Amino acid sequence: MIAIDEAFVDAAAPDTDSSKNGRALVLKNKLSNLHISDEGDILFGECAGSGKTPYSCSADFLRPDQPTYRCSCPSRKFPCKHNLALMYAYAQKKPFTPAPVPADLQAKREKQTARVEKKAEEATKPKKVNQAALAKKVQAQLDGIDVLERLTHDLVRLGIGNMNPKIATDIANQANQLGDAYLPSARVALHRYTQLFTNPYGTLEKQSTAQAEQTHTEALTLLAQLHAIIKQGRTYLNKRLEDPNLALPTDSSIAAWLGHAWQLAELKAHGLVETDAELVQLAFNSHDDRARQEFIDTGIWMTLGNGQIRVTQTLRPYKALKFIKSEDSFFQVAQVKELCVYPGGLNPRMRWDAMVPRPLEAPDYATIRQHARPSFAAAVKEVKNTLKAPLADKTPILALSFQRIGKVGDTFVVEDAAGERLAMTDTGMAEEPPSCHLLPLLPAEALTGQVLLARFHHDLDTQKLRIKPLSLITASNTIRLTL
Amino acid sequence: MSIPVLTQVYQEARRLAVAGSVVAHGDFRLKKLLPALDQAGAKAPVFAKVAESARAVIEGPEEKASESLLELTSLVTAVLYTQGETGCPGPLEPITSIALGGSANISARLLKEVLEALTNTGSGRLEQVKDAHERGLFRDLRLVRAAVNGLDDPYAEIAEFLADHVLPLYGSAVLPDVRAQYDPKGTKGHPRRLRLLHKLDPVGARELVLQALESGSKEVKVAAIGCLGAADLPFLLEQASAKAQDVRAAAYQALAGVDHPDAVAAISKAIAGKDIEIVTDAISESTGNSRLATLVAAQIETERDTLLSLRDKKKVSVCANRLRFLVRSVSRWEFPGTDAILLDLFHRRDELTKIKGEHQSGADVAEAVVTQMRLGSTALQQTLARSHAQLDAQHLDEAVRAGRLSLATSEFYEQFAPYLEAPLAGKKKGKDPTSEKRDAVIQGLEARYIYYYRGDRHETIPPLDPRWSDLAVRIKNLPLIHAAPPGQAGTEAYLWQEFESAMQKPKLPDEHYQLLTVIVDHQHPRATDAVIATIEKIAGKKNQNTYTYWFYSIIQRLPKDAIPRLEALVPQLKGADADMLINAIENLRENH
Repeated sequence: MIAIDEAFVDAAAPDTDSSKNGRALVLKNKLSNLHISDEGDILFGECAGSGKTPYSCSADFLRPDQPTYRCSCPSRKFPCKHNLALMYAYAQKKPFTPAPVPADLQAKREKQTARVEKKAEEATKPKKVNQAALAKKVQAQLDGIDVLERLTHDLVRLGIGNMNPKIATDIANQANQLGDAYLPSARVALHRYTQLFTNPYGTLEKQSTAQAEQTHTEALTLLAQLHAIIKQGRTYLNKRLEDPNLALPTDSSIAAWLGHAWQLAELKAHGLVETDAELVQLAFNSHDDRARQEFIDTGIWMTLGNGQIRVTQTLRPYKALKFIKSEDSFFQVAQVKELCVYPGGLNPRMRWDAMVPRPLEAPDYATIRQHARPSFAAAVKEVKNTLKAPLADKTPILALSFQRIGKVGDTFVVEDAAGERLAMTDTGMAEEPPSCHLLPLLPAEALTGQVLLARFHHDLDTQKLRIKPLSLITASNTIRLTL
Repeated sequence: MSIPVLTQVYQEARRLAVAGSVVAHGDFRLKKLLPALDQAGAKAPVFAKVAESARAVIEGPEEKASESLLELTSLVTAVLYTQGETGCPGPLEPITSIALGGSANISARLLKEVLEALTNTGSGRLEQVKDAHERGLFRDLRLVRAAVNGLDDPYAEIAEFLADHVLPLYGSAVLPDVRAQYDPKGTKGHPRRLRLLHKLDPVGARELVLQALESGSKEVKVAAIGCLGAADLPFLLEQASAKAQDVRAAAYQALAGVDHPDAVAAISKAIAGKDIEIVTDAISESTGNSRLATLVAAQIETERDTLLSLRDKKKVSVCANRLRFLVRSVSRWEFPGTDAILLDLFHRRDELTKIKGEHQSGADVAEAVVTQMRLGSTALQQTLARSHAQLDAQHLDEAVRAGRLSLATSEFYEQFAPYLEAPLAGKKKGKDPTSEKRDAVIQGLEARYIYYYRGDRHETIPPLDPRWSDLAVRIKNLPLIHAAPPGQAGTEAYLWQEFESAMQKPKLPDEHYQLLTVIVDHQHPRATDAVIATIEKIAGKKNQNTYTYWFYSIIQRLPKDAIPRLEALVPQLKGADADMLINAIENLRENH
């Protein structure tokens, strides 16, 4: 039997308008021939639209953790308002009569089942590679690396401090060429470089001395990162050219830097999968990445089984905003059968196909708190080891068990049971809004003996490793400080 | 490990990268670090590697300088990343917690919408901010910074709303942020910041207030003057003579709150001069004190005597105007002296009315007195209300309003109901004093129109005696039925009879929507039937749009059990009619 309520349908809607329109269709009585299969695993019916013939829509719960929505309407939203209307009608206990699944729908279901089985089967088989196309692509990437190298060296030769509108335009044009050379990350890094010197409207602006100093440091870090992409990328691509069957590296993120978009099947094939994982979201933020021309919704999660902090990322390119559902904060436990984890880093990206929620309860909080690092010294060591890799994420996240949070002068400081301290700051971490100023607004008990989810940042100008507070986890609550 | 030398190498590499690697070859500053690196390299191989990289920059081929410089930077930063300094020496002081609560599991999507309303420009934002305030979203700490930044919102009403209603919720917790943003030389948001700082922490803001007075912008200075009190009397007295009018106005405002002979003397001087309008404004906004009340009463008395003795129309006009300002300044005070002088003027209103001036006359003073009595103490209101028989139609509506606020509901009915049923003299309606008085009473009862918006004003007005309902039915006054208490059997029968009669007409009369409003607002037992019957009658018909918005809005006031019946109606409607009804149902659901 299908167990869904209106909240489930609300959450499934790609946006609030679709949800509103779906409800309106139910009220307008636009649905007809409402049925549920004899097995109770698919809802189907018809929904009147503007044309003469009603749309045939269905919500298939054959895989309850991954429903399939089908509709004959031309909407590019999934589920469309007709699917949502169908589910709202069911959730509102409108009469759905048992009926055999129509032949065409049954055929689609069978095709899908076959497709899923085939996919599972294919996932176990080695993937056939079009050698000629791959060689062509790798060669294009190598050529792109040459262009990137020339560009990077030109920038260093000219000097970071000598940026002018002409250079900025040249870099932007060349960066776009790198996109054509299958090096999207290099393109983004170059756009990020020019954006360090420009305002949100894209024009160069005079910066204050302090701003300019910070910009120069960030620019040099980006150039060093590009240098690492060039070196590591060239080595890897040359090997790949020689051996087209070379496995994708899973011990570093170079494949992703070179534009490889990991498929779930690939991740599974490489063994980057955990089964029956339970995840709790500890922080969530949504930010506008101008260099990528995308909005990025980032969830920061802890896996209850092993305490790993990992991230989910939904990338919403400006051009496709209408069609991609924005993510929201999640306050339950996500039960995931197969959790795919990307290679590299302290906080790798993760994805899943299907998830079933369950309420977040006191024992879950206890587990989270148990996984938090009790020793700052050990945590710092781990962070430092991560940071030294040239292509590593420079702002890793850890959950820290602390004794107390207080102030030394104007600086917020967190201290562990051994008296080790970490200073807090908002500088250098623009992904989330500032959060340190929120600490005095917390209840006193939240500042003693709790768990802090913290993002680390090493400031090359001051040579200080400091943290930004993202959330506080008490025995019964997660106090989120960022958005 | 010799970290300082590595830090120096990084700084030099950074310097060269900023200047351009063309100047890197043979760079003497980097060269100077080589011996130290070599020495350290003997103990730790990583230093030897750094030294080698540095040499490649200084001594390598010039065309390779960029690459060498990047190589050196990568190597040094990789080492420095492992040497980041942590800790923070010194005594760890506890944080003074304000304890606003937590994030209360409010969805990020919901908060983002509020953040966008606070950070963007465009219409409809004030409603979003007010709605967020009502829903308690501002209790979430993550909105604090945006609320503080909102003090500079280009739409002043949003900034004022945040300053008056939202930011005080956070108490002293927002002081550091507000203070950090505060610029005494600034305009717009900065006077607001100073007033907020003073409101939240008068003692702590004292220094800022004094600094603003010393070197603040004009706007900030004016705000600072408003933050002063008795301790600053000499300064306030000085500012009361300032050239700028807004500075003087702020000084008067502060002086009106100070119970001191010198303050009163300064106000007295201002009353005697050209500043009478701004000083009386300041007095009217103050809570008053007996010294000030005595002064104002004495001034009114003097001006009254002068006015009564004048014959020159120009002088009358000037004097009447001054007297009017003075009378208006005592609103909401309850001092025997001012009450007595207002009563005196009230009793002399015939005398005053006879005095004619060029622009202002004694009649304007009489009118101001009547208005002030309505706004004044309960005793004044009662006197005005019970004097209704002596009042002409012009002042009768003020007496009705005063009576509604001050008399018992039964007395209020007995005093004013007879006006509505008094027989007309048979003259033309506009010229008949009985008809004029009837209109004035209806005006005073706010029963001239059916007010769609049930604003806050109704909450402060006492309910009417139930007998008004029967009276309203007898005289067939729908707005008065609307204003009278609901639940009277006679009224309900009358309303339904009117409704049925309207429904029999081929086209609904314009007044039908008003009738429907009364039926719904009175929670008539058949209100839902009436609404549904009306929808069925107008659905799909043309030229019914005039009152559509009103009509669908009153649906939101129906009882909860109307929802399923209205939902069942939706399929019968088409296009915009269906969408409007769906929206109305949605709002009705939210209201319950």
